[in-house]
Amino acid sequence: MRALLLSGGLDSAAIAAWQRPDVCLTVDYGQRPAKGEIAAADSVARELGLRHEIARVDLSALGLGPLAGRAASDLARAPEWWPYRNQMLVTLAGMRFVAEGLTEILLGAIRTDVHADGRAPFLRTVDRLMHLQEGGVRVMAPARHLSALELVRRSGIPRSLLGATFSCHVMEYACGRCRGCEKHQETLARIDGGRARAGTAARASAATGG
Amino acid sequence: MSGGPPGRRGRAPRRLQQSGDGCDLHLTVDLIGVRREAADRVREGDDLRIELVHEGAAVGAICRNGEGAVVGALAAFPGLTRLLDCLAREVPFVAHVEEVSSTRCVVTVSRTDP
Repeated sequence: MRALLLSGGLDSAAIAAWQRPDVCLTVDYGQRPAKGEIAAADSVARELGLRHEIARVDLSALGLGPLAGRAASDLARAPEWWPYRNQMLVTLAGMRFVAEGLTEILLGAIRTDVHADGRAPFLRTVDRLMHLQEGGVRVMAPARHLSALELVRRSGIPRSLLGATFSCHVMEYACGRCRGCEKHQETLARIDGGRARAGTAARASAATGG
Repeated sequence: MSGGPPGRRGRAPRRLQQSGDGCDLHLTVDLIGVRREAADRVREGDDLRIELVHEGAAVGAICRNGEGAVVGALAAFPGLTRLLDCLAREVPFVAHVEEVSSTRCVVTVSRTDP
């Protein structure tokens, strides 16, 4: 059994379409945008015909940065850093599915991830850590060598499905101004190519010259 | 805050006029985080109500269908800050549905006051 950690963002949605895991897991760990992530992940999984589960573990008291509604840590490479988040998510996915024959946990890490828990040394280490325990589960990040744009193109995910995706860091509905929303917009604009880059700007112009 | 009367088969966006308040926005964008259940009850040509939504210090702009359900957020365009500012000043806007499916909704946003 292959399980994907599906946040409902562009990257994990594209991996869902590409890898077609046996089950997708969305974790509400107390992050502020959890409701938006769950709605997006549910929509993506349903559209792709994939099994989807939600795990709720309230760790909101332990978070840092905008996802937790707190100041970012000085340790963070980017403000949205939530300490040990991928380690926690991998562990929860393992706990949930190991008794059902789990063999692989898929993570949505991509080449441009800045946090340590999205980069190669961590990915290799957490794979070894899970594999040496009961069940011998592997941890894979199939998009670790790809940018977000390359991943979306490689995945074959339909453009229409990307409208359901959601990457906001601060609230249930996309705010449009946090780092998550900005990255989301940039990737969508690149996916749509020159038409979106030129077209959105032109179409968004105001009569008053904005 | 309402962006004009929402509902089925709304009017096409009105012609742009210059009001001088910086809120004469007219833009066509994809909604972000489209909600399937709400989108499934929307048709091309509908008008969606645009509202501000606050969560703590964060603020966003959402579109609701005629039943009040959130279809998605206005979040992916360069004029967002200005739209939020205009909504905060209670300038009414409407989102006219150009294209819709369960997972995508393209709208044209324009103001509705005379």
